[in-house]
Amino acid sequence: MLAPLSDREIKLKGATKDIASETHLRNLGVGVIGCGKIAEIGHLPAYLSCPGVQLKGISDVDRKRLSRMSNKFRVADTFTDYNDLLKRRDIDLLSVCVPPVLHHDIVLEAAKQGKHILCEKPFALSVSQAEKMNEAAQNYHVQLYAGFQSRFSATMSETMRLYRSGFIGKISSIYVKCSSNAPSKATWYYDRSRGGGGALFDIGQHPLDMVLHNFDGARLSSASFATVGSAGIDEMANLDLDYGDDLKASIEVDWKAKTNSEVQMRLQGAKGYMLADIVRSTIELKQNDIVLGRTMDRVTLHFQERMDPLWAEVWEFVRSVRDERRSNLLATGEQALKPQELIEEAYSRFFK
Amino acid sequence: MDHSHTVALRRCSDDESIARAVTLLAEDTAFLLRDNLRIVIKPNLNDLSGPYSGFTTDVRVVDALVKYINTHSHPDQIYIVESDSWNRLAGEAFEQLGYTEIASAQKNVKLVNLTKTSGINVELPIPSFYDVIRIPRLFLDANLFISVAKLRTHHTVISGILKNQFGCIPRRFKGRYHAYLNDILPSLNLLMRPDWSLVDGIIGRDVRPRELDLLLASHDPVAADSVSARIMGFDPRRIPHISRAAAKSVGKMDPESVLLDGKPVTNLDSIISPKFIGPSPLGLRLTNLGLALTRTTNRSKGIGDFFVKIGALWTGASQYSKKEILEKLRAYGMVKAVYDSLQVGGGRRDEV
Repeated sequence: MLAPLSDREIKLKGATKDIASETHLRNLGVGVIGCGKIAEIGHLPAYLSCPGVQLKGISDVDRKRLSRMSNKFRVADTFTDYNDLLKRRDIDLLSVCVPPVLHHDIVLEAAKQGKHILCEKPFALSVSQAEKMNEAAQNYHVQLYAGFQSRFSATMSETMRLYRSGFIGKISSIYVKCSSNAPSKATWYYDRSRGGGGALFDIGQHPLDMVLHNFDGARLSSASFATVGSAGIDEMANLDLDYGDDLKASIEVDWKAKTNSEVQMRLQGAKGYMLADIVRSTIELKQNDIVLGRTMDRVTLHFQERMDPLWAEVWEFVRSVRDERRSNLLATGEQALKPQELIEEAYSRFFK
Repeated sequence: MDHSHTVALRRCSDDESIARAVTLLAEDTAFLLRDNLRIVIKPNLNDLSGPYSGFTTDVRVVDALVKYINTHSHPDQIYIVESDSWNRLAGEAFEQLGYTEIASAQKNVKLVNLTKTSGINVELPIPSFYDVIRIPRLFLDANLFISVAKLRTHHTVISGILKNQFGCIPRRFKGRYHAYLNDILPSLNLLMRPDWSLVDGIIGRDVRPRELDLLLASHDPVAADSVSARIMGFDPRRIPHISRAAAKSVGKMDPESVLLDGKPVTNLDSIISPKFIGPSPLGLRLTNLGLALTRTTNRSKGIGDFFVKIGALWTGASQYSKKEILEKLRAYGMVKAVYDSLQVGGGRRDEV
């Protein structure tokens, strides 16, 4: 017997709109592989609330979790083997939310089956794997994206809009900090063969994408890590990037957040600075040439995210598949290579 | 000599003397302009009554100011701004009070209704009943801000330069904050401190219009309001928003020098006679009681909010004659006017 939906889920269900009957289009079928936290709080509710899609199946190796998710999101078809889900012909697009060690195999198989793919970060264990994944997507004419949801943050968009309008003038330094709670040591996060690396590999992909996507042409200048255990898993990492034209970037990543996660980007320019806090949805700024806050040390702007950035990312993925166009907003497989290359280079320098 | 806290007064009455007074006031206070500025001018367009009522900034003052700016510099754009309020639309006020003629005569002048422009949520530097306020995005772009206020009384005792910035808030937030002016104004003036202030006292307003033939200017909004209060016969130290603004370093309450027609003046009492009567003491007591209640417990916030708004309504109404009140209510609709003034259900914290 199915458990009743919670209030929030009922609301989500209510938001679901069957556009097929209105537009004479077929609803897109969706599958989600991996039912961990990111699927539960992000992908599954986002698909459930997205117009024009139907959750056709979910897959996970943990039967208990699979059963719980199936009840919670009212998905009838569950699979313990993702290959069975991929064989379903009514599934057009899927989210891959499993540990990174499985991304390569799943993406290759899904591409072969003609499914469009949104693959959670870390995109792949290595650059060579990522290249093979991109190649497969190209060969089988499917869309392949990596999950960098910070691109969909209103705070981030506003920061970049202000920067591009020349608000702080010529930029001289970029500082990005990303901090989250340390995962349990019993999990794959602390196993390099399954997790790919430590904090830099896990959450460092977000700040790296924020920097590399908006400011192209960075070279790795130096890298330092604080490691834990015999496997040498990094819990803290510092990367310095050099752009060659008086612009430097510094990225700080750690698994040491005591309470809430932190994602901050500070841009220092000739006229002032901006500090975007993605988690709090604020921009702290100081610019002496404008009226706002001229007499103050700093001014804090508050933003209201119209939609959770992860949900916005999923909806954009659905739109790009339905419209048969490559999204300009989502991180393509090729764009996901850039952070991957820098991380690999940083690890190879430190862990020779 | 440093003129950043100097307050200058000039006597004027006709068009020619107003233009000359603006030029002389700029010289008295060393008001310097550079080229390529985006300048915001905020007159006080309280209602649709002409300058002879003593409520609205005389268009001749703003006209003279715009001509002075265009003669002494080459600004990119001059914005004359005002937002809608409960009793009139900004567009109507621009049209009926003669501001559209300035815009049609001067190519670089643009009239802006701040209710219709995009806004941004900004954290109040001094948190009070509210801690976030919505202000127009224009202030993120403008380089120079000139506030042109009116010499008149108000439920905050006087309405001068500090209070004039309240007119920059979009209409839907005005009613909510209006009763809390004493708390909001110091914050607003830290966020949007005018670079130069002009007070139009050609015809001032107490419970009736007063012909004063005065113009006042200063770089310091607190000094300007402090001198305005003194010449009207009020002690600025007993006017909460002026004393709080001074305490928060918006400006100095005691100006370094006060010049009348270019000569230092020590006895401000002799400038206007007889002195102003001011707002109703009963209304002020009600407002203070309400404010005290909002600050005691969470439970008393609602009733406190009600008292604050009743008090503000009472003191505000005491500034008009019975005939004027009846005219305003007939034009606007009595029930809607009272509802808008009290902003029923609009007092929730953080709801911006």
